[in-house]
Amino acid sequence: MIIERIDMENFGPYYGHQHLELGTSQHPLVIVHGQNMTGKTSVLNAVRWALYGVAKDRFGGPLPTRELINYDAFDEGQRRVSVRLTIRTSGEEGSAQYVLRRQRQAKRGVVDAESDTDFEEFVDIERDGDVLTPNAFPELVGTLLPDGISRFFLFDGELLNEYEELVREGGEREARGVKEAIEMILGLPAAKRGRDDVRALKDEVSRRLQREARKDRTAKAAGEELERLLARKGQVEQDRDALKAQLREVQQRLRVLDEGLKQYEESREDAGLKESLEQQLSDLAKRRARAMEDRRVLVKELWRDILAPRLNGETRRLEEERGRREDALHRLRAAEVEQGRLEGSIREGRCSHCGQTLPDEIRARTRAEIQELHKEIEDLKPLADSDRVQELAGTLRQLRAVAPAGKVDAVRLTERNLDEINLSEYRLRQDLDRVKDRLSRIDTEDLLRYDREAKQLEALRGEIGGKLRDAEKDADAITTEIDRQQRIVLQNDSPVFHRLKVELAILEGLEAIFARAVDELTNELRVEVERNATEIFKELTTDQTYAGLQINENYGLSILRHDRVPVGQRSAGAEQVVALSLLGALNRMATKRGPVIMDTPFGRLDRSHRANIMRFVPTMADQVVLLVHDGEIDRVRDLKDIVAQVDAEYRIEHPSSTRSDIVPEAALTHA
Amino acid sequence: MSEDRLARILERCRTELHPEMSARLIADAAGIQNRNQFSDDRAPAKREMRELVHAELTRRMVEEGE
Repeated sequence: MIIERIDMENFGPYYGHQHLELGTSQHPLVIVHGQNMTGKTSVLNAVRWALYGVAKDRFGGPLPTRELINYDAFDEGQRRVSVRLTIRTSGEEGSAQYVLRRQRQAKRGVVDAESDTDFEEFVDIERDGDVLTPNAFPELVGTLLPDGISRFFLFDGELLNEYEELVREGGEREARGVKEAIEMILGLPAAKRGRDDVRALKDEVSRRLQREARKDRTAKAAGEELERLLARKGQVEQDRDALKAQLREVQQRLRVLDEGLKQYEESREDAGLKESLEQQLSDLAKRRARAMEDRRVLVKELWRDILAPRLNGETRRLEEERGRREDALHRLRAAEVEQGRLEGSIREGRCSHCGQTLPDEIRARTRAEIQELHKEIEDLKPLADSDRVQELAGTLRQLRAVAPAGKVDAVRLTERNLDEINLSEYRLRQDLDRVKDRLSRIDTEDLLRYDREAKQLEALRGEIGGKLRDAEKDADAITTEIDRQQRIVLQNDSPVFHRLKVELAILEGLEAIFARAVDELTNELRVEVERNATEIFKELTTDQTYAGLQINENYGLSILRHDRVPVGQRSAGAEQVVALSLLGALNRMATKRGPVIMDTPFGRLDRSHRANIMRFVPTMADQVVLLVHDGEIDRVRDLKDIVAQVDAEYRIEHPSSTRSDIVPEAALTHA
Repeated sequence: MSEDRLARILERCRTELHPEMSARLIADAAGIQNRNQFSDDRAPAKREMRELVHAELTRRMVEEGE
């Protein structure tokens, strides 16, 4: 069976008429991309609601009709919601197309439709264009995809939690529902119900035998005893069935309470989480105050860094000038000393170094040198301005006093730090809002009541269980006695009697065969689930040292290390891989084939596991619809290897907080 | 699970427990149960099962007559 098309009218975030073509099963995969809170789960819910009349909220509870209707549509006065599924089945009897539609609308005359009682429901079915009676709706759904096993086809986060219960010590009670569903999808009820049907038929024949026995004198006494025993057996069985019904009711109430208690558990975690988030926010506020103070101090000095490029140029220019002038001053002083020395030599007519009399030739040369030195001194004088050098030294001192503070990097770092603080705060506030929202839904009075009632029901269940065991014992004792009396009665050898005897023998034989088959089938299925799940697990896991998976009584799976010792603590990602392995195994072995719709299946996985699972997913069923957000898969990178398996892709656009639109996504090119 | 699976298991139990039971009866019983496993209404399954048992009964009566 595949779903060819989903048509929604005012369902959840989908305003007006919107539809999804889910392909023709040429390729198995349909991917719907959408961010969180834009309506991915609503697609899953639309299918669930159309089939079973129930859409679930995120705690697994049923959503009231009022909340199913699109907010804008409701605001405009529309009071109708509907979903239509076009389904194709194919089998030995050929292929058929079914159209199933469920619609709820406010009852005539009801203006403020709020509670479910204010709405009325209609269902329609068509088969290959022929309209069928609406009464056939539940039966048809039961044939196509029974509710009891739907959890393996409509896969959401809740199922993952249920899987975790399967392997948790003491989680048997919570796991019972999913265990029953697993046995159902594997076909165990066929054997159990066969056994029960045969038992019922056997009792019928026993009664006929007893009636026949009354006609025979020899068997009359035994027949009367048999009659009494059968009546008593009937009574005991009636009592037993009543106890079973009570037990079922208690278990059902416990399941409901468990849901409530689960919220309580979650809310306890949430309360802790809220405290931790608030603490983190308060720490962030302190960090922010510190960072802002740092920034304030740094910014005070920052103007120097801003002026630095211009000041540097000016300082360089002045330093060069000072260098030139100092050099000129040195040279001037040296020239003046030399000039003084040479003039002394001329004046005294002797060499100032050795004291010898200067010859006329040397004297003339010395005068020429003095002349040159005089000229050099005159040239140097404008540059060798000591006042200007003093002035330059002062200016340079001032310029150095306003040298760059080197604070730019520090300010940048502080800004980055503040950005990080803001981002962290934004994320923490979002988390806190979500937690507060969850907590606001929790009524502590209710929780205490749940807790009390659960304890009472546990006690009641123990009591009923004890009575039930006694009743079973009584029934067994009576059955043994019936068999004994029957043997006496069966000594009667009339043809009618003989025929009934043979019939009884056939039914007894059949009963034993079916009873044995239940045990055999259970064991065989368990082994096969383990084998298939291990095979898939090895395909999905990135750690090839694991030996495989080990199944328990509840069909829970433990990961085995290379030395075949079960892994104790498993990460959230490992839980998801194991859950997908079990889901894959069940789909391989299922008595029913159906489309698999998975909501946020890669949420807990790293990239390597995601790639493995991406390759595996298209092999799970004839049709697999993935509802994913961008954080889970990178469209280009993660889909490139399986693009040939993709039948269609959609994107959920979210133009406003109350509306979403489903639009086709442009096809990726083949790798 | 295919219809064959329950039939195969039933057949194995039959040969161990009640070899005189006919294989046909077992295969048909398995088929009925498989077909009806998701239905809460047991009446049609029980009726079909009764018919099967009668057919088996007739077969045995005929065998005995021979």
